[in-house]
Amino acid sequence: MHTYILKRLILTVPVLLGVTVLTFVIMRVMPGDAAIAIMTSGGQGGASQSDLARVRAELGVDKPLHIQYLNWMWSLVRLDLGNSWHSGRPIVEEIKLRFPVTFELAVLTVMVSVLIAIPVGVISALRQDSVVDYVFRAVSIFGLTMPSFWTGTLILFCLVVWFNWFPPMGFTGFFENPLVNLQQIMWPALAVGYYLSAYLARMTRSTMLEVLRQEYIRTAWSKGLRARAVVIRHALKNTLLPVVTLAGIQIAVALEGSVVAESIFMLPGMGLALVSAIQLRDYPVIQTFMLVLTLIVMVVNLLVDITYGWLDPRIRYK
Amino acid sequence: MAHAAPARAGVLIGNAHRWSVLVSACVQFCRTKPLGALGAVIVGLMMVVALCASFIAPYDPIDMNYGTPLAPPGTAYLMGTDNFGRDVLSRVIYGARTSLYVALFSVLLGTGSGALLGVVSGYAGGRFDMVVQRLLVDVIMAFPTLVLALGMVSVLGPSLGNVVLAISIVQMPRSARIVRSAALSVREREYVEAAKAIGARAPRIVLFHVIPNCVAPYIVYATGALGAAVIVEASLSFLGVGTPPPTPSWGGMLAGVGREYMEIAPWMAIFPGAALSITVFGFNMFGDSLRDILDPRLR
Repeated sequence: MHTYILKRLILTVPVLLGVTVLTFVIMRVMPGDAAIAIMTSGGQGGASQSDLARVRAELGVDKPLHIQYLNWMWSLVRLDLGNSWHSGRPIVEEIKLRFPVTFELAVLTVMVSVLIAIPVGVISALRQDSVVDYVFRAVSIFGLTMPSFWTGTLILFCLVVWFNWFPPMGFTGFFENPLVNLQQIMWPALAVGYYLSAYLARMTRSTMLEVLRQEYIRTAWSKGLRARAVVIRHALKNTLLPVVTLAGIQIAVALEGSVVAESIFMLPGMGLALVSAIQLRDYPVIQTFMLVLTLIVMVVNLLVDITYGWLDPRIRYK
Repeated sequence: MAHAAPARAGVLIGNAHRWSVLVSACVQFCRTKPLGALGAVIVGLMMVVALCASFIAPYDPIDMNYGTPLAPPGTAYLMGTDNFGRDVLSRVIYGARTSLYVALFSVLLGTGSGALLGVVSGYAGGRFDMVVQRLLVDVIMAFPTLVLALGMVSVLGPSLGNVVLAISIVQMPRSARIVRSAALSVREREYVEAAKAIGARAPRIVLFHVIPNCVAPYIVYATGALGAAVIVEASLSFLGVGTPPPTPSWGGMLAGVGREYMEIAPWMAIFPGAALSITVFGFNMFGDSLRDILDPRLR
């Protein structure tokens, strides 16, 4: 087990470096001069050459590219993520404020998708080709084809028109007032969760169908076990393994969905910050948030891999 | 020239057998996979709409006609007008053109280059394969799709070409992975061994033996990627960094419906959203049924 974890970790390192290089390359391929962009973004008009030179020296863009990259990596290691061009505040503060919101949204999204997908998939598989199966499959297909921002817009529309509920301007933390907090986060979680649950439900259904055709299930039936024992004790455990790992991997998709869902429901999370930064051309924020979001996804995938190895002994001893 | 007509007719009749095979294959497809056939019809319809947009659209999609803003769907404006007085139906029709253009070109570029990379990398194997997989494919795939596309478009600037480029870069590693695994299995087949035995060199083997046998999984992936590309383009436009206004795009139309207009003019959001869902549904269903048809043969 330890060698498995170690191998996984070692294999992640070159990809991690590659990710930082790619992020750096994307950000530095900017057309135009960073210094000019900063000096003129505040609407200050022209700037003298000495001002530009000073800003360039501050930014460090006057040094060759590989030195810039190494400086940036060194500052990352020290957790000095720089300041936002727009607000001037350290980016670390922004992340500390916004990460809990996005984290809560992502967790709730995955919970919603699992809570919808697994019962739907299991029932669909048990009652294959019945009316219930077709209804569930139709609902799943709808979830797959409607992008989460469309579902979110529809949900918002229903809330606004029928319940006269607008997303509140301020955000209430979970520990301040759980009820109000859940009210705010539930709807975007539902929108993105529905989209995620579609694929998960189909996976659950097809995995369950495969498992039900296995010989040990037939043995269990012929032993005379009741249906509930067969399904829950034997079939479900083996079905859940690939499904749960898929759910873990879908945290990446949940994060992507949160980028859009936060815009619709005005949640002050990392996704909304990324979008605002793009509209404001706040490049340090864009760069850092890109990196942070990708790192989160990589860590989650690594954990899912390791958990999969722990849950399925066949993987470990390969 | 009198005998040219019968000769041409003879060619047609001679090919009638091939036509009937094609027709019966289509009928078989419709019968066994009705959803897939529906998907194909939807895709075909969207393509026709996109190509003939200038003939079908009743009004100019860009012209801001301040005379009748927020008009509900009626006889004059079949899908109503938006807050600028633009006809929603025309914008939805032209939006089909935008979405399909972006989807088609980005998938062709992205999956095409990815497939080429996958074939070469899979067939070559060894250290070249490992380096390409780890450093290129895995790195790009580590980024969440939307985050990478957002980052690239934010740097390159919002334009249709940049959106196509961003989406194709995002799709490249995924198709490379799929084609690579197909190439890996083809590499071990006997006909490749036979080709090597008679002295065929690698480029010829790859071109004439490996690539044709990797086409099936590629097609299956590409049709799925088309649906995904439509969604990514719509998401980018929704966030304001995709197709630049005033070019109509379904995502951009959804973004334009702020909270203010939701109650009084819901048609501004419902029609582009429905068009988006139907198109993605068509691509997904068609791709699914293609996979069902092509996959068993691979085994």
